[in-house]
Amino acid sequence: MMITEILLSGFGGQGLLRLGKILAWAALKESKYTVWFPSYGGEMRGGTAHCFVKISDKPINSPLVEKSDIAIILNQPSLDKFEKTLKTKGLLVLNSDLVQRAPFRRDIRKGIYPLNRIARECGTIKVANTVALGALIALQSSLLGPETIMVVLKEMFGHNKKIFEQNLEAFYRGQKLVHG
Amino acid sequence: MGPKTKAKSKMPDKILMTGNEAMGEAAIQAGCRFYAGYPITPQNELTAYMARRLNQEGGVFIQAESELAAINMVFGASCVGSRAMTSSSSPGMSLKQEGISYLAGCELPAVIINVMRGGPGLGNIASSQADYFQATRGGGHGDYFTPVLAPFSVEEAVHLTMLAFDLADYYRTPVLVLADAIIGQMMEAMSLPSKSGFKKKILPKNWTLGRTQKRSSSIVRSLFLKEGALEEHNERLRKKWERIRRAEQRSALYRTEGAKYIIISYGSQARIATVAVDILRNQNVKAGLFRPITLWPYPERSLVGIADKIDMVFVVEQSLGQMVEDVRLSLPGKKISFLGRAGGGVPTAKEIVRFVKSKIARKR
Repeated sequence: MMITEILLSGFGGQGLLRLGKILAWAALKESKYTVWFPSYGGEMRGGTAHCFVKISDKPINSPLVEKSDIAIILNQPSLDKFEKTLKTKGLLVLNSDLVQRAPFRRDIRKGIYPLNRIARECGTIKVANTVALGALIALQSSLLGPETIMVVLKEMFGHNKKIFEQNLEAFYRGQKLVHG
Repeated sequence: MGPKTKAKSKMPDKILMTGNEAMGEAAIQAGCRFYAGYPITPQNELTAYMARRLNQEGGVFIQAESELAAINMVFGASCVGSRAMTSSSSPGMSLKQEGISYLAGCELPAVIINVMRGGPGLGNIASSQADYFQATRGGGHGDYFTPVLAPFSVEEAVHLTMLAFDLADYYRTPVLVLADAIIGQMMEAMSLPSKSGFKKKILPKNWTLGRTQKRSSSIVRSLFLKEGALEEHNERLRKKWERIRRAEQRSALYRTEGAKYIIISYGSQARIATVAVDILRNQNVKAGLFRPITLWPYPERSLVGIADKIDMVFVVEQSLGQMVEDVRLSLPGKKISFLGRAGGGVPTAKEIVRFVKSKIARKR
């Protein structure tokens, strides 16, 4: 793996910026180079909030992403905005609960799951982002190890047992969506 | 603050922080104990970080009623010897210029961080490098300069913020850290050194306001009404700017060995120019990057040093052409081409490659 460019996008409040930080933290733990870059300020209610993460074995020069290898998309406006910026053979993880159409792209890999429903089953809709993370790590096992992600979840949410356990369950359920 | 890596990893003791947060932490590590600021995107995380951390360190944080108030609070804190800082973004920096001029006139150390956004006027909140003229030509009224340091990574933003405090105290001058929205907002791994690496000895501040039993009172002022007094003061300042110009030029090179073509960029744009250099080298175009770290003083000595073997010079900025004027002043008679975008536009690696190759083709 040389460099993986990841886009994460959804409604403000769905935790996409946080999800990007989890990926960046995990990358650092695996001694990889990483850059996280958020959308900031100019967002509006009902629109999208997004961030980019780069993970690489080598130092990263440009912090910007034009086309991504992976897109995690949790709502319809994000699909409309970013479907076209995925590279050919890229991976799309999509939340079927909040989109009204199937992706147009035929040249990409797709993981389409009812992330909101699974998250609710884990105790709160707020962990839909972590369900997506579980699915991503299962679909693209070369990106980051699941053990590393669990260490990061522990560090990030360990101070609150309930939140930590919901996230752990969400991460597990996300992986199970792929592995069955 | 981000996670710590294990000591045995190839990136020991690295932590993840955004540029804004990292510059805040660097200031605190450098001994900054006074911060005043007024919120503005894209540097709000820096102000928020200082609000949270300075109180823990026994320092003073003030959210001022305006940018003008903030810079004058820094003026006051500096008068009594505190390492003081303010930060803002482009529109807010315009408001601070009166205070910066007074700091320079009074020879007061202070650090001012500008995380640049699009202009003129309120502009937008996207990355920009359009405050180069304002930063490198004083910015306020009167004959003065301020050292200007331009980081191109989160780690360098840490180093340069710490260096800014040492330069400010050593030369008794306000120092600008000129970052941009990309550097402020991006998060990457970095380590926090305990010192800036500045080698010169910084003398105790015996000029501060207040009277002790050991010395009489001192006066801090920029008003000199007596005939000839201001000219004398200006002359002394001139000698100081000359000293800084000689001693504090800093720059970095990337793949300039055997280069016939050189791209000149700073800040986040230099990151992107690095990608362009790699692409050009892969296509057997002998390109390299010259990256100014100090924008004032402009690193003309090292630029002139490498220019002999260079056929063409390409300046790339997130502006309509500002630093390019310093390049022209440094390299008279050289063929210099400019590529720039304004208003949040960032010249991409592909655009740079296309530009460089088209100019080379036209010359042949």
